[in-house]
Amino acid sequence: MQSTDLSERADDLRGRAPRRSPTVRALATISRHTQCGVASAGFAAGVDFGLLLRGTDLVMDFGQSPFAFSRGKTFEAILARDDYEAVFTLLREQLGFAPSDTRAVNLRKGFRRNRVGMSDRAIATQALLSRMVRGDAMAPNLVDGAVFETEVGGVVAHFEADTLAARSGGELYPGEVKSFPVVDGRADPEKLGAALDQASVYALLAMRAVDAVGGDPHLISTKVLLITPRNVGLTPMLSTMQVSRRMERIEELFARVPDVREVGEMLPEGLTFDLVAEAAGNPDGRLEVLGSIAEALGVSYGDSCLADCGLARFCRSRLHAADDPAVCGRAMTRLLPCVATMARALELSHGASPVGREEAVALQLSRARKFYEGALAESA
Amino acid sequence: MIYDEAAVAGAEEVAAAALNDFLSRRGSYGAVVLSAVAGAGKSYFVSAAAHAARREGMRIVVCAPTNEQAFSLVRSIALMNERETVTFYPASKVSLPADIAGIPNVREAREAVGAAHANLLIGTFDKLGDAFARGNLYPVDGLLADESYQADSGRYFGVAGLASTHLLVGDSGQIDPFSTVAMADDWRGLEENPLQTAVGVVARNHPELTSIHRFPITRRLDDRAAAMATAFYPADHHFVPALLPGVREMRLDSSLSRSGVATHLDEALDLAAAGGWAHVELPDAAVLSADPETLETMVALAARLFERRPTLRCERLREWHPLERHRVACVVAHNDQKDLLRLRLDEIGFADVVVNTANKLQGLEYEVVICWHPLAGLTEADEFHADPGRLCVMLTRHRHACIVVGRAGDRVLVESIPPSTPAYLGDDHDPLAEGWRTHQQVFATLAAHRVTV
Amino acid sequence: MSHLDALMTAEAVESGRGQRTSLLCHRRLAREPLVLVLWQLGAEPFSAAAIGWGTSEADFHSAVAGDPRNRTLSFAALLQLAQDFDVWFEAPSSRRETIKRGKRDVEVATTAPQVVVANGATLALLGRLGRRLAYLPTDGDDPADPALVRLGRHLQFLHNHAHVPGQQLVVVMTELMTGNWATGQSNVERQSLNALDAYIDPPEGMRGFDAAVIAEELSVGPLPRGEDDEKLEPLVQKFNDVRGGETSPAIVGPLLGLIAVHYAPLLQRAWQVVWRCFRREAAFEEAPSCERRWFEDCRAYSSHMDWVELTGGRRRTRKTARQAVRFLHDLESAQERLVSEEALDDPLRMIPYLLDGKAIRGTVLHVDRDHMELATKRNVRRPLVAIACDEPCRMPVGKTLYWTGDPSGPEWRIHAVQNASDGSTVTVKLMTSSPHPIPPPGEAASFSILNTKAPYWRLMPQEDPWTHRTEEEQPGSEHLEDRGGGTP
Repeated sequence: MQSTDLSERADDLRGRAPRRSPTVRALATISRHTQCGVASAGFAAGVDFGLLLRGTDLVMDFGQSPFAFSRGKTFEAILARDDYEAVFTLLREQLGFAPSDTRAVNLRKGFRRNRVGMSDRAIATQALLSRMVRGDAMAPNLVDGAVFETEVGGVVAHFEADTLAARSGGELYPGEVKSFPVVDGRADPEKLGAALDQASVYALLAMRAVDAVGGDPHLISTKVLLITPRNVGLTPMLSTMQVSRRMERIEELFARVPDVREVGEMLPEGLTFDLVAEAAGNPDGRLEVLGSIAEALGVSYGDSCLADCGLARFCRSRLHAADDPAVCGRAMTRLLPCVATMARALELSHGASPVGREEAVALQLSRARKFYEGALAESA
Repeated sequence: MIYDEAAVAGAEEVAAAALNDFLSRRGSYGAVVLSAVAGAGKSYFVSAAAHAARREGMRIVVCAPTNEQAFSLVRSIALMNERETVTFYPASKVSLPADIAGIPNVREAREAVGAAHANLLIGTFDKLGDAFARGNLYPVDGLLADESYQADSGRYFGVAGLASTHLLVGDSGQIDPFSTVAMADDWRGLEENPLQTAVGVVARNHPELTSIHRFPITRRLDDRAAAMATAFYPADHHFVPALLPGVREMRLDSSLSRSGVATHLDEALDLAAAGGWAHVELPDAAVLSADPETLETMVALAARLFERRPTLRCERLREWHPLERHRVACVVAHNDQKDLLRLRLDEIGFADVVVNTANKLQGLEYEVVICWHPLAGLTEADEFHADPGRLCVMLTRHRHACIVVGRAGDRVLVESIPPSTPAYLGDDHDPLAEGWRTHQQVFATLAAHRVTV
Repeated sequence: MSHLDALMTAEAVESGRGQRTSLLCHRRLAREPLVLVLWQLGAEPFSAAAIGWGTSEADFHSAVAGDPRNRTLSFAALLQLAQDFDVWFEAPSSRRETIKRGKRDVEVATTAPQVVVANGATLALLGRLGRRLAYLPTDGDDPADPALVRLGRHLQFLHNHAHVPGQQLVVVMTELMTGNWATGQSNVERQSLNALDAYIDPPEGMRGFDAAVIAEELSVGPLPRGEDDEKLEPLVQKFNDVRGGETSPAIVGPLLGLIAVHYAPLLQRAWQVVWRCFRREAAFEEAPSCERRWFEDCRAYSSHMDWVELTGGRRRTRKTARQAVRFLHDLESAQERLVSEEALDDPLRMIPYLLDGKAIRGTVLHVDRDHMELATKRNVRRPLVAIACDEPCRMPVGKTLYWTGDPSGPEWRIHAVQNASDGSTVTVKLMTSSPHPIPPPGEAASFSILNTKAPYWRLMPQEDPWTHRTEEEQPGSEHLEDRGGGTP
């Protein structure tokens, strides 16, 4: 009952704002913005920030190239070919899977593409997991498209293991399929980190699911699989990485997602994301509401926001209007602690009297100006 | 009763096993690693190993990353091996400090020929590697390396060919090799990574030829400090202090004898004297790296410490004796903090108090240490600041007491979720995440010794 | 970052335009560089959908692949680049001169080629293309044109060399400009050449921030915006349908029209902004030390070309342990030298050292050439120079310094410091008695920790030690082209 109640609260908080269900990608996004109150609130309320600012000048475009999408699909098709033959070959060669371990189940087919379908897939996953954990002779060795159901911020969420969970009479390995290549044994560090974070979510959820069916959670390996193209073509290869630390971090992340009630309580009366939605009308009014929400919940604008948060331009614009040093990047805030605006920084550099903690910075800024003017004069 | 005899005996067994392991591998390829925690008595072990090797008639080469470490090895090895000629091979602009050069069995080789024929040769990795590459040194029977977790793969590459049998001694908790060049990260996880530690590279390339012995005691750290140090070592490296509790004591004059001094300083000093630790927590504020308030707090602590005429007694000297200025060190993370602290301490007549960065104080020992917490005032941590190695060095230099100065925000920072991190195939270490955990553990341990300003 | 950067950034924000942070340009900018602009297809990492190149703005050449996922079509486009690139790139190698370097004679090309790209992502794409092309088979049943393989090998060399601090064979415009201009932008924003350019020099009546916000909407490559590729997709679909699996130039050529039209404005946009930015930077005076670094670049280029001549230029895909040790050492030495040279060449670049207390400046009060001191056994001459500085000195007595007027010269040491609240008198001591230049009384003088002496050359042992030798061949050393799956 509680969950439905919270789910309704989330709906209220979201109103007409576009919806985004909590997926692993959404979780991965907020995991890069753990200090930001608005980001957590948006996640809890299920708001799609990528679409929220449509109709305003500050909307951002994260449109993926259709070709990127098709590369991913092509690679997945290669893996699925002939009952996942390529994958089983890798599992035999590198993880010692037996030649007879070739049972695969694809949960992406045969279910409705909606919340009910996801819920059904979660139930199916649970059943398969149960068999795998019991050592059932006919249990699958590979599950493509497993779904885990869990509560996040009090609301039920479904996480689709974008990928495959494998087993071999012993441990179960959560896995990720990515279409970025591993070239000469090396992968792009940021992409690899993000992929491992995703796999960690599955590993964590799989452990909880195993626990729920009375199995030993340690059967879920903390070594996850990463299947990527090798070098220049699309031949699959398998890499394994230890993710226990990442799992701990994800666990903390889950624990810290705020309950929508908490979010509701922090917002001033009557303010919700509903008033920011396109349907609310006047863009200026909408942005003003968002500004109040930001004021109430706190934001944490940093260098990584522009890459994946739909509100980044909004935050940037707000900081710029306030002449806040943070708009120039985190390194700048480190250099100008306790200096409220860039204009103030200039004043201090010209010898204005510092107030309180500004003193140490004022000294450095006026020295910098002195040296700067000296250097210009010297080379004139 | 001073020592935990059982612990000492246990450690001697491990040392003997490691030594025998090394000696028995003579003539074949192999690396014996003695992994020791801070203050374990590595120098003593290296000297004893040199002694044992020489007794077997092995010709040996001993190397360390820095000149200072090499000097220190010359001294301890020479004193323990009075009948051996100990030859030091310095770089051209370097020479042994007079007191060490004066030891009768110590020789300084200025020409290659003097070094090539030595039976017991000591030098830095760089110097010995260079000499070997030039063909001025020939292979010997054994290579002993100190601070092997500080030496990078490149330095090791230069000397490893000097012997087939290696004894690598080091502290895995201190600062790892690093580079100022960003591109070096590209090699993380790969076998050719030049920034792997010496131990790391041989263990990775020849696991079957590498044996790791874990030394189970620390001599420098007593029970109070050892409890903190567990944060820096893997759970499977079990160690205990050699010293029994209570052997080391520190006394200060009563704080009532002066007025007008901030009470929190005295509170901190009292905590440090009684429990070996104090954490002075300044109010949360965003500040510059060389924050004046933190600086002044450290200066005031040093000044107040000596005002209260500290006296010590310990296993080395059982009678009460005054704490000397040069046995107190202030440790910082950054050079600008170091420069300004040095100036201020000099200004108040404390030129003898040591001030340096953690990097420079690796391997050294003091009675009392005052540290500038690496996270002090940061609102965001990166790998450099979260590096547990830096914290380890800061918190394991002292024999009697360590006072940590920081800000309330530091704890709040590490109580938040660590930032997301990149990953490298072949490298399961996540330095930022691990460093985060270590910082949390350290703050938790300091909680009982905290003074809030 | 230093407080000078903070100050300049504040000026940029307040004035609404970029502020120059160096008086000079610290990279030699060639008179006829090859500018290369590339567009990738969606997320295909190893091919180029559209390429533009030329050695002057008017001299623009381009090629489109049609569907770069197809090997033949991709290579056909790259071949057009390769034919021009290889000739241009290899030409300087034939003109050599002999230079004396210390005791040895070195034979080096009189000049070297310079490639200019918009941003780091383009350089990374060139690296990937190099990786793909360098190992193509030139015989067998689907041989690649040797010109492609040569292109690949040159690209691999350039991509590797680009890591060397201060190198000038590959100019990455965003990097160059970030080093020379302060804008109110974060590191991520500065990766957009368009946005960076707009902030530095916004249109009349516009503030940098606003101009940059508009400019960043337009990509300069290599990754297109999602919507650009959405427009492209039906064109590629049609192209593939019509050609029906054919790849011969005769059939494919006429069908490329619409795709070429799609890419033309994208290529032009990148082309124009790169040239505009290049010209802006080239208008600044070149720093003196660029000469020495250019010589090193020419040496590296000459070595590469010698290797190409000798063996075709094939290299391992990954470095050996030995090569990695050597490379890292060289990078670190280059880095040290670079920062010293830049600060010594350019007063603005010296400021962070002054701020940090790693350099002092002032007026020479007094010179004592005859000051004597006891060295180990005898009295030796150690000239003293007393300098009046307007700041307290943070460095301790005994610290080693170099005179900025003779940065590759002898060491000096701080001999005495008298600090007052508003200044100091610092006495420095020359650590040699042999004659060396000394700043004269009454003149301004600076001393810093920076010197430009040749760095320590790490000599490596002849053989790899047992500890670093591994049994198996390093992965990636079987350089077979991987053609598995996915190519339509």
